[in-house]
Amino acid sequence: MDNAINHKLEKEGSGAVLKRLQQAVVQRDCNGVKALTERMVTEGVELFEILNQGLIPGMLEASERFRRGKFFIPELLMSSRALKFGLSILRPLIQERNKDVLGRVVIGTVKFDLHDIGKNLVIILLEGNGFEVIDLGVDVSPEKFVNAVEKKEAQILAMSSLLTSTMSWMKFTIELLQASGMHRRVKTIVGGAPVTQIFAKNIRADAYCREATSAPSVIKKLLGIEENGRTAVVK
Amino acid sequence: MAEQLLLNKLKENPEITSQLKAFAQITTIPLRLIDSEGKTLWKSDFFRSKANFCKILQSNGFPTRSCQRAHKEAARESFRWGEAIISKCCYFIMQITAPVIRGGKLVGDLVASPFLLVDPSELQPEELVFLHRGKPKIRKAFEKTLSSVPIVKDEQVGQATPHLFRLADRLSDPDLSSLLNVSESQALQGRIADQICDLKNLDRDFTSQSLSKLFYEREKEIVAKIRLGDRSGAKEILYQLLAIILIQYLENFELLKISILELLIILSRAAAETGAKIEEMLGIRYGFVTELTRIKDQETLCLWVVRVFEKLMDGIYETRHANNYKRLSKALNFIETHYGDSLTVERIAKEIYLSPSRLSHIIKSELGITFGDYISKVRVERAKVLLKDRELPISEIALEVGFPDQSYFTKVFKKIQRCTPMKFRNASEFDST
Repeated sequence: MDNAINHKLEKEGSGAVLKRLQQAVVQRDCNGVKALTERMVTEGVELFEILNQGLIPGMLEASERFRRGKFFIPELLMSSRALKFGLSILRPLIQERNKDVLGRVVIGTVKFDLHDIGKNLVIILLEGNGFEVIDLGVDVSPEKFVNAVEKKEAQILAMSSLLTSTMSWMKFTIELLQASGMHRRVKTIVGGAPVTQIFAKNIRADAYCREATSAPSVIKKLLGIEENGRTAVVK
Repeated sequence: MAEQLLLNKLKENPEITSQLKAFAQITTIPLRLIDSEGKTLWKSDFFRSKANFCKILQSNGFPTRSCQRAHKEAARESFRWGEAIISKCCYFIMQITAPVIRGGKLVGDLVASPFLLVDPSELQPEELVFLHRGKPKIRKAFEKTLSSVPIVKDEQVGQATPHLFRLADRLSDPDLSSLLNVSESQALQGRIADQICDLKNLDRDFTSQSLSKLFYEREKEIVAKIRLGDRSGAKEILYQLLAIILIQYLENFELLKISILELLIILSRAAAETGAKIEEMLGIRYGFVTELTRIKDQETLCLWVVRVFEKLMDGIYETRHANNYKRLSKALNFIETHYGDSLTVERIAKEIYLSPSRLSHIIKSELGITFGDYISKVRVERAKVLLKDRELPISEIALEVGFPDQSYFTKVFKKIQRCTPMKFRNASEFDST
């Protein structure tokens, strides 16, 4: 642990440190992210608070900068790298807390979509909330989604899309799921920057997830699971 | 076959070869031309003098994915998006790839690789875990090789990317213009997606009803902008209109087409009213229907709408009666720069040597709204920008943009924006994080 960081932390409240963690992700500062995350963990800051108010907002800001043309791909990649270091500290601790599996989720970005930052955040949050997540990665075809749901006996099929040109593949996947007859036992949930409530309803998805942080509570609601107070804070 | 053609192209055009060499020298990234089978057809001198990072990895049993596969995937992506692609090749090693095409088919790619985005000393232990599998001697060799890999700054990579695409364009036959269409279409989709995000941030729970209302408002605005000849302003609203249409009908192509047709009729009517030649308009409108039947996907449809819009606007520029337009734009320029002062029709009329009643008439007839409403809009637009700065108190913003007090500001803002300034600020706060 860096002494300067240590010293500063003693003087700051956790809110200010969370803000600095957020900035460290945006500034692609891996050492900063690691040090600040570790420090907050040892100080007993709630793990989800570190995630939801530090790491995730940082990544969202980097994505937003990219969207506004202030960041290019290399910067975005480096922010995502910095984020990973924070996540690698939190992940084992969060997983340890959840021994009971609440449900099984198959997740992926739809066909022709390679943007997985949002999806990866959702995975961390779902695992942290006690879900078993089967990550199919990016560019996943309807057949692959439906096969995985069947094989893994998942209760939830979660799809993400970041492009208006790939959103239709959500519809095709849901149609294939319906054709297979599995839609009765599997609930579908969709999300991504250009995805809206109206679109979700039109393609007959069971639920729409407005932002990564709300995914756990939306899925719990879908499965009729009571909130246990440990759910991610929904902004 | 393609391989021979590419080699001939290099032979016949020595200037291309020197440009490729220059790329490697300026960026310090080794450059290769690879055919679709993964065979290297040309490589920069620079490439030879550096030890090959990948070979060490592969010959020592480190888990890697094949370079060929990594290049091939990247080439496919760059072909799909119509631009050079920056991606990870293996572990933290980066590559930039640009497609080389012949007769519309992908025949090879230019690969600039390997390079690093960070100094090896900044690599985190977690990123080097795979090295523990190797013997100490190999680890040493690896570290040595790693130090020979060029480190390139974020922004330099950003600059090198379009450069590489231009080089690939020179190697392609006829050229990459067919791909430029693709990248234009993707850029447009990106803009529409941005508009959808903005809508989501502004109005968390929009419904079909609220969207229809918004569509109607934006429609009025775009007509006003077209009448004014404000091309870029109108285009911005066009993206918003496309976003609203896509939210509602993205999954239903027939409904999407009908909505787009409706939109085009409104646009062409506004253009005709504004002075575009009627015969031309009829020609374009007839073209709508025939061309529309040929379009089979959403992306092409949106791009087509934007192009028709450009044609309509060209028509207006060519024929419109310039007198009112000139006076109006003078008045609007004045408003743009003086919205913070207290503005009256009399004051502006005096500035541009018109009678107040004549000015009011021109504004109403050209913009379709009253003088007062127009000024309110300009002020609210400016306030929206200022609201994003959370440090600024709302009362100060109200004064800054020309309202006498905060309560009047809130009233007007709510009327135009359908939410209070505070609510807007909170929504954009989320937007920026």
